[in-house]
Amino acid sequence: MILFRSVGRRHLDGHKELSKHSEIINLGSKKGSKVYFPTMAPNASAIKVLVNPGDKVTVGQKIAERTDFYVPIYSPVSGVVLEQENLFSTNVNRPIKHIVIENDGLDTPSDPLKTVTLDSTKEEIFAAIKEAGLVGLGGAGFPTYVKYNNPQGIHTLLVNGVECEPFLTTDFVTMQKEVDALLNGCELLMKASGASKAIIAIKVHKEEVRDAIKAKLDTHPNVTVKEVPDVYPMGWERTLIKEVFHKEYDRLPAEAGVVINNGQTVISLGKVLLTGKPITERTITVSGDGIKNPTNVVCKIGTQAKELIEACGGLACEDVNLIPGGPMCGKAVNNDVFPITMPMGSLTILKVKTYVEEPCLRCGSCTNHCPSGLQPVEIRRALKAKDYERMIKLNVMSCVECGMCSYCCPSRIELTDAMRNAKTVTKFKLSQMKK
Amino acid sequence: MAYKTNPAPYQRTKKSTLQIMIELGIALAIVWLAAVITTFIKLGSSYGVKSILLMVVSVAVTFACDAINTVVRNKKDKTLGKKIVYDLIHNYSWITAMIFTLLCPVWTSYYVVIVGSIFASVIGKLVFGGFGKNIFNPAAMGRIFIQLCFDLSAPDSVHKGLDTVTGGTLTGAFNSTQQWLGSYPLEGYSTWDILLGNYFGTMGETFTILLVVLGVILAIRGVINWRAPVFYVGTVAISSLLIGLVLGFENPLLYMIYHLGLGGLMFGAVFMITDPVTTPTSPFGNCIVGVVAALLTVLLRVGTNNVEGVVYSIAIVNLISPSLDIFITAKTNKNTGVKAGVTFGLSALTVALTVAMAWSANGGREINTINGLSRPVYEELESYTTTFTFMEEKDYQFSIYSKGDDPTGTKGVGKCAGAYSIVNASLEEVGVVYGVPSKIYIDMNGFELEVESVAYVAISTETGKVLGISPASKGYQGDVYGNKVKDFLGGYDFENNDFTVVDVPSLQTGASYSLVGMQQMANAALTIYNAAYGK
Repeated sequence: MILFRSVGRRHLDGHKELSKHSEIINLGSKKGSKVYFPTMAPNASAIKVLVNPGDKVTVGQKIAERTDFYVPIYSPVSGVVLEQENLFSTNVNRPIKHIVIENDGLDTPSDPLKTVTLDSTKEEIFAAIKEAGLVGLGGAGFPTYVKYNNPQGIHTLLVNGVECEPFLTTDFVTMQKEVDALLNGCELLMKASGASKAIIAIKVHKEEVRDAIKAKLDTHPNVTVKEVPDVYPMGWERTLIKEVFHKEYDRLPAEAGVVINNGQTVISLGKVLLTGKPITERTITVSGDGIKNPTNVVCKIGTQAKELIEACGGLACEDVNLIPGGPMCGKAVNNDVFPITMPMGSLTILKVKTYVEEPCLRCGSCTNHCPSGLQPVEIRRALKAKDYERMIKLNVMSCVECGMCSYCCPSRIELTDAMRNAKTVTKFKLSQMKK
Repeated sequence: MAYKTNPAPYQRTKKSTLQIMIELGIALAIVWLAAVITTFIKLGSSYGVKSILLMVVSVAVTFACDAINTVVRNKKDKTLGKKIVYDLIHNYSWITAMIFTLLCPVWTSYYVVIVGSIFASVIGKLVFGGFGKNIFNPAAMGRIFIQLCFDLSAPDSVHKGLDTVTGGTLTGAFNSTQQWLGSYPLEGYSTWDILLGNYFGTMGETFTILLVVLGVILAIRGVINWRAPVFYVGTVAISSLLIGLVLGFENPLLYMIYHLGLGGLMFGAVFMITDPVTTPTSPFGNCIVGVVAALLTVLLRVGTNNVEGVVYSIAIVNLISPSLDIFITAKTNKNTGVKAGVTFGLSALTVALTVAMAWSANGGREINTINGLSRPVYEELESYTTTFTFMEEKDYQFSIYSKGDDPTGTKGVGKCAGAYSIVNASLEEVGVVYGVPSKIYIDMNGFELEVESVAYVAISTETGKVLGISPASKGYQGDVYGNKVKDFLGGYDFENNDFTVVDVPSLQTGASYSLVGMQQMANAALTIYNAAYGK
């Protein structure tokens, strides 16, 4: 009952019109340009480098491999491997070694991966997904194949095309453009997961995408399109599954019988698995009021952010926030040299806005809108009082740092920042308690 | 060109605290405007101007307090001037001042408003550290302070423009005559008068429907949290309706409307229990606070016969809010069934408790009316008929006795053969004897006043007609109203009329008299007398 429950969501001003219909820029493959690959994964696990400086690589050649999960990384260009360079990486938010490859502009292809067809078996598809080196393209970068490692009791494949972060339109443009790949991907993933049906969730007011998909649904009887409300954070797994299935789960969506994948991940899978060509480029939204020509850019993975910014006409003002990702979850970085990674969906460039903090009026807006059902105002007070037990009691570790609390706060209190700090100290306390 | 790394997120809502407070201020200003217009129409321009000046004075005083506070706290600051201006706006004392002023009746003296504003601002808010840190609703603090320290009843000059004389406000009248336990129509006021605010109370509390509309608008705009007021008003409504039904009131719905429309309940629900600073932050906590406030309000009204049930109950729930915040640590989107169970359980308990309280306050008796009098009053009257002697004297002399054996030595001025007395000797006895008196109206030849159910009635044993009524009781407002009646009746020719006036100087009662009430009293006495003596 809404009387006793927090709302947990809110409509945001999406600003999608900035880049929704702009012409897509394709940076292509230029001779002499360089691509960079961080040697650490987003969870700070090491990445094993398989090439040495001076080696010649081809498009689709395996150059590195994650050590915690098996995720191969393929070169998106052909050319020469250079010495490793220290560059800022958004994976770990500090400068780390990067593999550098100089593009020779030839795009020499290497041997394709093992392909599958729509009639392949579950095991074949799983092996192909694993070999494709795909991670979730929605932002978190979780290896896709892990979800399909012998899943049990899955009834539905949920394709997340919600894109609830403001400014982002990559899903919008790619899902519209590549409906065939999307539907093929759905069929393959349904087979891999054992799901009997697939639901493609998109926001209302995305008529173009909806109509484009619906026009081709005749040949895919098990796929349906579901429109969900235009609220934030609709694209978060829990919120989306609650909206579509009215179910809540404890740890993994599989508990609710659902496997969930980002729309672009499904599209990429549909292409990579059927053609055997690893993913080499992705569509990125470069948007915000701090950039001259906001639009979507197709670029090689590993391209530096500054090249994208230049392609979009440069910055519109002096001081900006450059955010890899959307303005809600993303964290601004202090440079523009970091390379684009596979999960990165956008670069949001915003004019710097400063806010004057007022005393908390305890209105409970943050509590009411927290999608995790937390009480940020109480957690902030506990943090100030260094009351760690209370922070654990208040379930601070369930925070997903969606940014909603800071967004809602009429007193402009940096609640999300406080929540991050609270999580850090609580994590430390919890690890101490284990000992 | 620089890339800044200020904290995420980079998109914020447009709604600021200042905006919330300005919208709240606009809503309060609308209520104030309604109050000013009503005052101009009903009490004339001098009080109309006063209703404007009271607000100005209150806001000015709280601003002064704020400024002094800022100066004291930032003595050596070079930007003191800027700080003062910032604090004046962002301490939101103007909201406190507006709420406080609207909680005062228009006849409140300026110095009372000044003292109350200072208390509200300094003790209610600034000593805790200013906006966002206070424990109690500052306006409620100010109001309770002046309630305890000053006599807020209406002066004579207001009475001339009022039909109501008891306590100055209609809420006071309902409180003192029916003790929050009666559904007898308040003389001269229709249900619509009470809903629309066409009566006297504190400046802001009377406009029930306007307040509901404003509350809905504010809730939709996200300025106030709607949970606490919904549970507050809902629980009070159900409680009062059930009290009315269980105690067998003539009109339970009217009784509910009295509870919702009188005593500033709607004002408290829209502007005070929604004060975010002093109520819990979680949705569940807000629900609980609403229910607890409802419990306290009804108990304070019915149990202790208090006009200010709303303000006191809100001040008390402010105390439990921090504890609620500490206890409610679970996720706010889980276990809604349990939360609903707890809240509705508390609600049901509240209703049960209040009904039981009302039942016991009412002596557990069924109330209905006989000859326009409530049953307990009627029964009391009847019991007195056996206690008092009707003297069979031809020369129309009569005596009146108080409840005890001791005759008060009052002598009749008129010519009566017997005296029918309905007596109460002291203030306590009013409460005891007429635990649940209805308001009684006496109308003598068109002159209207309303009274407590206390009077001396002289009935001629020869003709069986009412000869005299004693309205006079000394002390409390008895003098004023007694003399009014006396003056009015003084011009009567007793030989040809059936009425006389008896002065009862030694009796102290809390009653005030009206001619309407006396008429009814006389009729009732006659009925009882006839029943007892067969005339």
